[in-house]
Amino acid sequence: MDNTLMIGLSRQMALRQAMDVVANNIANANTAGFKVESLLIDNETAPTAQQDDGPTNLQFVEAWGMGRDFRQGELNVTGRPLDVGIEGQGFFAVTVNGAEQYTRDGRFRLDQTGQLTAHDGAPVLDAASRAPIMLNPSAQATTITDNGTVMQDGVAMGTIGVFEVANLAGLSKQGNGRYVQTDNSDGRNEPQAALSPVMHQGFVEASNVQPIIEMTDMMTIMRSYQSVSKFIEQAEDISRRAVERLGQV
Amino acid sequence: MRSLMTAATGMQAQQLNVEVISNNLANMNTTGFKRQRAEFQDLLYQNVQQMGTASSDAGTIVPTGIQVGLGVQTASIYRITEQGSLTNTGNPFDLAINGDGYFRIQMPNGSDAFTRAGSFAVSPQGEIVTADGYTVAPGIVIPQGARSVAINEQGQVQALLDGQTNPQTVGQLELSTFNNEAGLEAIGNNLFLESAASGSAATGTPSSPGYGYVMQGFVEASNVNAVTEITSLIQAQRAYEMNARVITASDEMMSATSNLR
Repeated sequence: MDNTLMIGLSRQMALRQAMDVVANNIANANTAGFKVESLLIDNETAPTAQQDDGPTNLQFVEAWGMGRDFRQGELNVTGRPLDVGIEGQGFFAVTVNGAEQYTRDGRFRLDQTGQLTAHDGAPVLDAASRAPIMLNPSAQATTITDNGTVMQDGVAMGTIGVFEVANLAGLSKQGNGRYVQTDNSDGRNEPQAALSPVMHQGFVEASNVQPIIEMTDMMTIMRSYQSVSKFIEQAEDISRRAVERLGQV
Repeated sequence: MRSLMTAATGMQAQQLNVEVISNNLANMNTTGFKRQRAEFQDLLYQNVQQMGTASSDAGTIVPTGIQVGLGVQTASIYRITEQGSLTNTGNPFDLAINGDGYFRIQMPNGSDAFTRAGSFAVSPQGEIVTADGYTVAPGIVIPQGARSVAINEQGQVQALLDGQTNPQTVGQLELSTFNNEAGLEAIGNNLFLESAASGSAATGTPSSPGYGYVMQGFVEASNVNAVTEITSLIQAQRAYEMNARVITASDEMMSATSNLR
């Protein structure tokens, strides 16, 4: 009988985690470049929890990974010259403390020296040289072509790099909309500059959270949780009645 | 339950978003006002199961791991410094800047402030001043008895004095530009201060390369676009409501547990 409670509990633990993930998705519904996530739940066979009177092994519920949906978010027009949205795969690269980080958030700006940076001052990297891009702040017009070349008054100042990551699952989230590549011990998964990236000036990629799906997920999680509570209650009821009846004998 | 706190960060972020939008809308008719945009980013992640750790003796590794996000945070409130539309007023001391640059204002405490709101006036001493009476650098005095004042695109101030036929140049306006305009510190009253983020001011004459030109008889309207602000407001409100629903749902889950008999 204890197993019933433990299986129910394992399901509830997984559902709570799934709820945390849904809450994070909804909280980031307005975060540019955010990619929606879901918890991958599977049954876990537990050899130690064998039922004495039943021949089968018991299956517990366990979360085993996170699924990230890297699908394109909507490109929203802002008209700001230094807002850049990527169409298709790939990430912008910035350097933080000498290490490369990757992001889909293309709301760039100039710092006090005229360097193209992200909101926290991390320099955005050039496609070929992987070095920061210096712009002329007093230029009349800044145009960013579809392949990322930054043109100022007719002069190419650099090319905003879009880097493709071989193993998306190896990206670790840092917060701030940034990822770092963790699965790169042998250099095989080093992100490479995309050959023909497509980006759009004056656009920002919105998060790809779909509110309806998240709200439905949330309701499902909540109701499943409640129904598990119900069966835990019933399991306890059975054991209570068993004790009562045994007492009458 | 993390989801309670996560949804709370979402509600806080959307509340700030609404605050920024309402400030934009409130300043829709403020001369020289530049709209702002709240920018969000995801908060930190908690590693429940680290990706890449060994999952067996045979050397297999956890392919994806479990990283649970803890919500959203505000990255910055960014000022969008695009040109506002120019409105004709006909007032000779209304000056709009078409292009880059700020007027430098000498504050009473001796420091410099910068503004794009060029609705100026003349002080009792004949000096060109802001609506608050602060001198517009470099301090141009209009001689007494001037019949009309003309300011050209290059910022030259010319006064036509009584009894004369040729206007007389009485001063030259200057503009200041910054490497990072968005980094200027707003102090209210349409004034900005130089900061470490903006870089130091570069001063030049209007219409020279890199500087905008001055238009007399115009003011620069705010660059707030009511339609985009209202749509952002709707989005923010719905996002706020959804986060509130997450809190309710998390609460119901906890009550299902606490009501177990």
